[in-house]
Amino acid sequence: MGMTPGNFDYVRVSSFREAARILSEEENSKILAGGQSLIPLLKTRIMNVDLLIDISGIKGSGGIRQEKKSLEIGATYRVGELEGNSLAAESFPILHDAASSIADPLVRNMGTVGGNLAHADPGNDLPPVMVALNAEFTVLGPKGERVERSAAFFKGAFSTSMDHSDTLTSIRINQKDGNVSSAFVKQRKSAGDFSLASVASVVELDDSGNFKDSRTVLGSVFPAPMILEGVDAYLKGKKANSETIKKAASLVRTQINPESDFFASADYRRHVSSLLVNNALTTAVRRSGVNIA
Amino acid sequence: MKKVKVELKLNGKQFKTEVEARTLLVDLVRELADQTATHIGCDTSNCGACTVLLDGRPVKSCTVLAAQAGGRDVKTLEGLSEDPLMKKLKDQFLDKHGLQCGFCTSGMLISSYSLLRKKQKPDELEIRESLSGNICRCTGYGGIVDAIKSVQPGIEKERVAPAPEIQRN
Repeated sequence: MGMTPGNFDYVRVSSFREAARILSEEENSKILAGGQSLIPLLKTRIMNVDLLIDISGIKGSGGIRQEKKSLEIGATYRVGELEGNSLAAESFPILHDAASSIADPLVRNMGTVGGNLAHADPGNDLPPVMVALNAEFTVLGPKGERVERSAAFFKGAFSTSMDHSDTLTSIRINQKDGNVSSAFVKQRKSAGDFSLASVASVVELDDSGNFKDSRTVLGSVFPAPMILEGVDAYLKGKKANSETIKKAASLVRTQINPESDFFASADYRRHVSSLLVNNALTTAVRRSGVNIA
Repeated sequence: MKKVKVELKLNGKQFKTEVEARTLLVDLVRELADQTATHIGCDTSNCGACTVLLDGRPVKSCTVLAAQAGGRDVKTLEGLSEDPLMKKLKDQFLDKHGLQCGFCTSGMLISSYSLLRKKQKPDELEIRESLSGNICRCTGYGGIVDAIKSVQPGIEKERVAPAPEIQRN
């Protein structure tokens, strides 16, 4: 026998409303989507629940809908499905970058997009990506549905703006007009590890090849994704070339104050974050069709 | 705590049981269905020795609840024993030293089987990427990668073999 979680009840729901109702009735209940973060926590008994509410069978909750100007991803859409979705990758290459590097292929086949976001582990990769994309999260609570901006959603380690009775139901990403591209890069020690640092970058270039707008987000270094405002402010209006990007990346060293822990020192994190900003911006700009060294 | 009724397709046959909600899929497969090709290695979702196919996709059965697999299709190595592609893979694992102690092998075989189902001639990087959820402590992976590379794509379609009898305790 394997390691076994503590006892709990299990229910499969057929709608998010039903999930919301049960959540608000049962104090120590928890939503189960793919379970790739939750089940290890239950097995190691870091977490104990009385009731798991499985939402993966809700009709349509695991779908994806691409329209001309937007992409809507159901909360239980699997990370592995996102990885294999070439249409989504074409519009948002950053999604493919992240989806193909989360954990390992076996975990991705079970793990869901909504779970990666709602769990809000600082080591997760989709939170910084969704903040960079300025995604909108649809959340269902006891008082009904509301839409939250990704930047306001992540509050800290394992902490979001949702409370116990709320469920993330879908994610919406709007396609910006203009010459927009994106990239996600990360650093980890070995295959399958959590990120030590990651950078998600969405850039918009104008007709003369200057940065018109950008959002550069640092993941896994702090408890919640951090928008690197200093980097974005520096880039604005400047020529999209390797010098500009190098300078922007070097700013990161002085603009963040990470902590040292068992996994990496503060200096290492600063260094890697700066390199990752360089790599993410370079890749995103190249994808916009600008040739840079 | 209420028991959960779980009915799933295991290696081509309907399998019905009643389990505690906390029962893991790997324990259903090994303990209740006696399909012991699937191993428990790390038991923490790292090593992939417990890899099975769930609706055709490889997953770590130590990190899936048996209840989650209800109504779905589960295939273990036993269910693929007559599959032509799996037979070729096994031959190559033997030939290229793709195993030593054999503990990781069933997981390795299932992961590489699903890679070859998706892509007949993957390159080395694709092979290594697709095995990144499976750990082998004997071979250093070289033999495993060689074995997968050496499988010659065939024209045969997958034939689902009759599964071995499932014996219940």
